Amino acid sequence: MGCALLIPFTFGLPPVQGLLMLLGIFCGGIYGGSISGILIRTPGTPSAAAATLLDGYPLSQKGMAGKAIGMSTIASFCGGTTGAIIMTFLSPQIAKIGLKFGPPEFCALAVFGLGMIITISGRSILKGIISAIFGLMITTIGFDPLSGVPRFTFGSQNLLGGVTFVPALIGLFGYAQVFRNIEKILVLPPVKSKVENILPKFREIRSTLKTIFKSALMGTFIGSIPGTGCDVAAFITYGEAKRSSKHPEKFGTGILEGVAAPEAGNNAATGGAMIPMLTLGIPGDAVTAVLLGALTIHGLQPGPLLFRDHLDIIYPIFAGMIMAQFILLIVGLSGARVFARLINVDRRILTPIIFFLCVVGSYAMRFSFFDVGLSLIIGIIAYFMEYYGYPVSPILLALILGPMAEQNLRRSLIISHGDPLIFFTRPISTAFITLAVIVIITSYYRIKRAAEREAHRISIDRERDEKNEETEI
Amino acid sequence: MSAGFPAKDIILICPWSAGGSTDTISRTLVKNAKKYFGVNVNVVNKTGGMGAIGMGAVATARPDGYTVGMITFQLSTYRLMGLAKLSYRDFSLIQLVNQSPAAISVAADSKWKTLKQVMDYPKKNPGIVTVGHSGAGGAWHLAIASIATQNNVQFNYVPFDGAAPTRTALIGGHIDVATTGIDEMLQLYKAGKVWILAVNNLVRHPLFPEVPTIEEAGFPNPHPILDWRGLAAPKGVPKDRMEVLIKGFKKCFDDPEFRKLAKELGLPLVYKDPKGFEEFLKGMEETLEPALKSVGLLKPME
Amino acid sequence: MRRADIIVGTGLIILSAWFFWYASAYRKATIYYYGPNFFPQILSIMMSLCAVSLIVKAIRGDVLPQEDRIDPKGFIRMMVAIGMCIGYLLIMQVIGFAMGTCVFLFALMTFLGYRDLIKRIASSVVSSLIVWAVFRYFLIIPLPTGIFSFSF
Repeated sequence: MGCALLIPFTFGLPPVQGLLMLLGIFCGGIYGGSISGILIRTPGTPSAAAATLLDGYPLSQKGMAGKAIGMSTIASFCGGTTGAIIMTFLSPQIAKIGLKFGPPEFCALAVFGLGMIITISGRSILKGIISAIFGLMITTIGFDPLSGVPRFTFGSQNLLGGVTFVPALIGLFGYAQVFRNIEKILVLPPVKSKVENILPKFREIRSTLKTIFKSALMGTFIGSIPGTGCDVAAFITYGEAKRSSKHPEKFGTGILEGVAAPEAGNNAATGGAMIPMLTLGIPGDAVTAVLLGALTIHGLQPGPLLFRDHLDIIYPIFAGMIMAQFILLIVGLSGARVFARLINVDRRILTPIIFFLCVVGSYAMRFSFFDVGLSLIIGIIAYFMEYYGYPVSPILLALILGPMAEQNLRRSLIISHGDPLIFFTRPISTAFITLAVIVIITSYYRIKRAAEREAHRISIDRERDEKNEETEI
Repeated sequence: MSAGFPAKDIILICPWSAGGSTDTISRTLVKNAKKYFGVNVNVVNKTGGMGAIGMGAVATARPDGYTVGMITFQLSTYRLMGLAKLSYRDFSLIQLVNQSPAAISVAADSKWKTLKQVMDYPKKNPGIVTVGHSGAGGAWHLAIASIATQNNVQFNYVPFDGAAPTRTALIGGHIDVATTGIDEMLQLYKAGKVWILAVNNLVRHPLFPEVPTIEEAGFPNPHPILDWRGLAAPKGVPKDRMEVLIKGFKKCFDDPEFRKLAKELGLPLVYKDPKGFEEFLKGMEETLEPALKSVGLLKPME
Repeated sequence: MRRADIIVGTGLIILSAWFFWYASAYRKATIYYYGPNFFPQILSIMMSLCAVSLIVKAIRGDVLPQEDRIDPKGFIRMMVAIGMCIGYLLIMQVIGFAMGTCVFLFALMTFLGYRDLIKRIASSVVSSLIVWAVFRYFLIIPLPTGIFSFSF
């Protein structure tokens, strides 16, 4: 959203400066969104930070906000740099792979992404799936571009475009948390950020390095597929980190890997998303769509010829992407201490201000009070959902992937005249579906086994405690 | 009264999101507005509801002349498709800014080289040729559908969500034919990745002089469906202020910088004064009605 | 949690039945084989399956332990705060964005029991003015102006 709001501002600048400013906002926004996600459980950028807060917010509640921000900064830097370097050297080659994605492939990719519900469901997988289906139902609201029919709009023009992402996001996380804070304001003990251990220790960084680089590579690839961006990358890398971890049950309770993986993934995806935009004129996600527009405003047409005719623009873009990573590393590490102090502000002052920012945030996307109301209602629903054990992150994932899954499913079936074999006769789509099945099954068993192990350990502990008590008596 | 108008900045509501082509046109159009109005014209994106939110906001804005808006092709279809009770009759029209014709394209390595081949193939194999377009009920869907119906050809329509995915699918080989705005194919055409079979208009496009019109390709179409964009103010703006707006925006339209950008983007600029604009929109609705009917989307609101 | 699961499950079954029925009206809407009803109906079938298994699990006693309860007093406080927010959205149309925000922030801080008067006033005025100024002058976003001609 930052990009969209700031386009007019860059309009008066010379092309290269204007573009670099937008690129900086793009990279910085994807990274910066995680800070508010960690501190107040409200992602600052619509797309990226929703996976980061799964572990980031619990960390800050433990008083380790500084460490979480530090970790997120380092992971973002590594991810972003990887993405930018891959973009610089391999753009044309990767663009060719992107073209192989037709409707069946996109559908399979969406199914693969939705498989991550298993890993972000928290305590009950069934309830996570229910949340996700609920989210998918929400995505069917609005004008259906495939058939030209408005669905579930009840005659409201405001619903014609569907439930937009930003108000939903603010409702699911921002408002829900504000309501919870107001309800518990007298009960909850104040959180104190331990300012002294602000940066992650070297040992901690080293232990996450493997996760970071795996996530960075995956993120770049996901970002480079036209139509999928940082948000999808964040969820998939988080899911993969949890699935392949030795201790999946600790994800969601506040561990550094849970911050490192999605941050590396979504920042790498910024570089990835630039690839189809620059080489083919096809935006990788909503933000690059804005960048694409910015290029045209400055009189440049992205596409195959940009690389031939406008190297004077392309090289600064590459350099700028890499520079942006260094700047966010410096700003992030030096600012972490200040940001972390923010949650030491008295809740009775901070909560109203966050409340107000949620109102402003849901309004500013399209200057609509309808969105503010919608956001409030979603917030109330999300507030109750959390009390009854229904995780809200799957809703978000469903909102991101729902339209992609539905449209490409139907599109594929239209192309194949209704033959579902189209998904299994094409190599990439078959690969993704197989991968999805493997990931869903293995993560289900791994998480279940880890949970059983945990339960077993607790019961042994309890027995031991009881025994000790007996002997003491 | 007009002496004091405009006394403060004018707001131009763009019903589509920042970075899109309507947004680009709006912003370039008013870039030098200060020269002609004495005040700035600020573009505000009010998106949602397939553009109906932004256009509706213009129609219901305070009619003091300080709020104007871009209106686009979708306005011609809302009422006919039963999406919203909104049509050009709810506005005081200012001017038509541009008209874009549809381009019917195939990938560069396609086995078809002329429109005739494409249209003949389904006669023997109905429903096999996949035609991608950028959304049901959109200008490009209706453009190809009306040509197909007139010539009794059955295509297998594959709707996409916007022009960019349609283009990707075409050069990726996932669909056989694509209909998009001709300007949206400019880059890929220049790079030799797509081959444009025909432009759905009465005249050739200045940037694509070698692309035949639909009639030259063998399929006469006297009332082509065109995408359009224009400017409008809410109903009830005082006459003298409307005069100022009409004159001022005409000057913006003639601004050399705006002309230059439109040329680079391949957007054919067509000016029509309020009266001509209204006639054009009236004719457009008459053309659209049978086209919508042929694809089963005609559900007019009374 | 057991009772809650059964109630929610039943509600979801009703919801998905309604969803299925409502979507079926779209079937004849277009000429495509896989029309706008296709996906919503698949979803409602999946949802009802999940809801049934939720109920079955609940009856068998396989439920999550309740970790946290809604504090009744806090719940009322929350509802009042939401009411204040709605009031804020309405009053903003009359007295403008910046002033409405000041009043709202001050009122909510007072309601939540913050004592220090000076800090209350300072933080509400400063935060509303910052956001207002950024919107008004930097991003040029239209905000409700209220009855005053100068948009404050």
